Amino acid sequence: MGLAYNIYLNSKRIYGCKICKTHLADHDEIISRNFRGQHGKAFLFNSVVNVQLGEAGERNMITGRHVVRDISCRQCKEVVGWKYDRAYESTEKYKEGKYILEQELMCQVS
Amino acid sequence: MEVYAGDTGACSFELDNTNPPPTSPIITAGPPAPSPPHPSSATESTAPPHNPRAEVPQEAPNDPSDPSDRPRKRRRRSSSLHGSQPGNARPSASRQQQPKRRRAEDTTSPDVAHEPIMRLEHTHEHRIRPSTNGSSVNGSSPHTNGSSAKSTETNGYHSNGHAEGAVRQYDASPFYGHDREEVTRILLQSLSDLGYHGAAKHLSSESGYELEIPSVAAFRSAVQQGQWEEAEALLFGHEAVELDGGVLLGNGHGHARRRKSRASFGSQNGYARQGLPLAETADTTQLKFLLRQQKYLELLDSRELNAALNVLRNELTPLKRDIGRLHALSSLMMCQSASDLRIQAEWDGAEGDSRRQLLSEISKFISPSVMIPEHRMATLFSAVQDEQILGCRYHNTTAQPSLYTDHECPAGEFPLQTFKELRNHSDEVWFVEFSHDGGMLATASKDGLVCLYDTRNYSLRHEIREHDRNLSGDTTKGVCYVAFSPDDQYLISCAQNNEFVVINVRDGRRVAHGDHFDYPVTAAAWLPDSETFVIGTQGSRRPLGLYSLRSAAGTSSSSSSVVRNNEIHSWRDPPWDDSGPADNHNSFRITDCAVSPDGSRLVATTIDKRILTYDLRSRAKLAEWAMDDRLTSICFGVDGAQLLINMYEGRVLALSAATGEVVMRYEGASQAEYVIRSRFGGAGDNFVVSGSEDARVYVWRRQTGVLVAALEGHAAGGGAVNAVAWHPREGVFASAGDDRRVRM
Repeated sequence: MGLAYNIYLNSKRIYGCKICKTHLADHDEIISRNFRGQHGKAFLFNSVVNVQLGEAGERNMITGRHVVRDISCRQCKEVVGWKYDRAYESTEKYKEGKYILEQELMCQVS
Repeated sequence: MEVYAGDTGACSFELDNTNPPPTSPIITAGPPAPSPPHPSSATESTAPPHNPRAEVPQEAPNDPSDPSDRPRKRRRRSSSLHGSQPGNARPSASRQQQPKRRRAEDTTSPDVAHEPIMRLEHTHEHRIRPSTNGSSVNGSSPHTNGSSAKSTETNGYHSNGHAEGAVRQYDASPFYGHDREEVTRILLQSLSDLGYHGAAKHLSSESGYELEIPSVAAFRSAVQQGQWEEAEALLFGHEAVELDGGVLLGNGHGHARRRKSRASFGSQNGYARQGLPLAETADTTQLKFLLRQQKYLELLDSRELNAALNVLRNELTPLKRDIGRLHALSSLMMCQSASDLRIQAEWDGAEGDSRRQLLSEISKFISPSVMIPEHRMATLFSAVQDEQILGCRYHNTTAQPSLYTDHECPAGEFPLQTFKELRNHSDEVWFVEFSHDGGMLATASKDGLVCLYDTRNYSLRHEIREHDRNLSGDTTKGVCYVAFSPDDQYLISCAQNNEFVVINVRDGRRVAHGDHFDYPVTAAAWLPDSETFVIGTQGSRRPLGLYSLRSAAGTSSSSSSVVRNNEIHSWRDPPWDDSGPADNHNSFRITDCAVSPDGSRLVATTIDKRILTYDLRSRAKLAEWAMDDRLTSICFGVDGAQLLINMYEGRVLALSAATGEVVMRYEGASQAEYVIRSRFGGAGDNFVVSGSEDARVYVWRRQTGVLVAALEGHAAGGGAVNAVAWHPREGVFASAGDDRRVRM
């Protein structure tokens, strides 16, 4: 759509899109580093910026069934991770509303 | 008695003793005793009913007696007329009945009611004076502003002075709902202002009204001739000179010592004894200060230093006002010469305008019914016209509407239809702008193109693909801003691939560019000299920079004709220090910037919801305002006094450029995610036009905030209207939308 400026974060360590360097998330927002995605290591973040949400779908993951949707960089439209919409297992509820960003698809923007 | 009894002061009837008895019965009230000075205070306002509908005395008879009695009593000439003169010949008989009838009428005549208290009104039956008094009265639209607003003050005084006798009828009938006396006096003033003095004299003799009572005229001439003591005495009454404070309450006994001071009429709060009635807010010490200051300056001017010193000591200082100014005045004594004095005091000498200015200053404080505010009729006309213009929805001209009819612009003249669509771009169009002279239109789009069109036929002149170089990926191209230089020679285009380019408009060649940014360049604004410009980016290192087209000595880049990265000055907040490795957090990123039309100020909006104002000459920061939400666009109005900003949540606001306060809000547009821009437009900047995310263009009236139109046209559901621009000359505007089109 129309012109939209990116949101910029103020922080010491910022993760950005590998391709277009758009700020995605702040290092301090990491909840857990103990995740694995399709491409390897991934982090669970509290909040991300400059992403667009995709369609929700159910997926079976190592931890169980979840409703997730892909997130992609706003500018270059590359998928960078996903967001948990709903978790069916009660132990996984803490993930609801949080975002996963894959380390492979990100870079550090100082 | 009765009737008139009350009014007392107000209508002192001239009872000239010379007036023979016949008058007395009629006059009643008045003057049983020759000069019962009725406490003037009472009158006025209060008793409309009794207002002596003093009719205007026929001057004539009074005249001879005037000089003599005037001094004695303050009487209004008015009514007495009835009798008084022999001139009564006129309907004296009828007059005799008049009082009674009048009395009855007084109380009952509602329509005469503009109750100006001391209205001199005349019997209704003598409608001798048709409404064609003086100038073009007929046919002009009735004053919508009531002159009745003034009616609470004392009315002008009717002067004596016409020696004619009998023929004057003072027609008391209200003129289309307005007080005849007020209308006539305003007409007299306008005629004199226009220079038709003969007509003015004739009008005043015909109607019996005078523009100014003699004491006011005397005051005016005293000021203009520099007779300060007399002026002061006239203004305040000779006894009032020593008193402080506000307006005095006089009482009717006056003894007019001077020939002219018969002034008094009541004003509601009483009036200075034998002085001119002052307006309610008048401060006598202030007025005295003004008069004496002028006297002092003139004495200094003519180098009579001793006398000036005297004035300073004895007259200015006791007033105990404005000590600072007093000190300044005393320092003026040190001036060596008269011209030096004038420069220092910013005063243009005794012969110059200063006396006239002093007079107009003081006249503001004198009760308006006695000394009509200057150019009253013109003020009334302008007020009516302004109101009509404000109410006119499609007003798109700066021409002064005619006074003959009420003003209403037809909708047909307003650009409401699309007459042309430009489809050159292959992707969303993000920005559109007309050149300052209206000859060219530039559009910027996501596909990296800048297209220049000729506005005569909207044919494509240039397609500028400068930003196609240095592509790192096709997601980062896109030109988000273009700006024409004030002389329309150059065009800056700002792109998302972190650079900006300045192009010569004639041949499309690039003249300068800057690509030392890490982040997209978001906005640019030229200074009026067409050589320097400001660039705003989203990078924190160089968020706002001032660049010049001229190359600094020795820093030309590879191609010698192209100036590169020529940054003159960069604003950062706080100052950049190289020690920090990461982004300087506190630095700001700019989303839009604008330069005021006179080149003195720069405003910029940042990504964290602030508006910063800088002074361009001193490069200092002037102000910073925090707003509620993120801002996407800012621009100045043509006069540099207002700013228009777009915020998220669909708000378009007009702010005052000096204080940052919201002047007006324009509702209707929607904006949630994208950058939408708005502009002032139309003749005299009468309109505000903005894009919105619902594919419509919104137009509002700037002063009133009324929505004039919400124009469809861009593919609905297709996306936002990103930017709009108004043609500087014609009534045309362009809108750029996400449907890849530019509509005119």
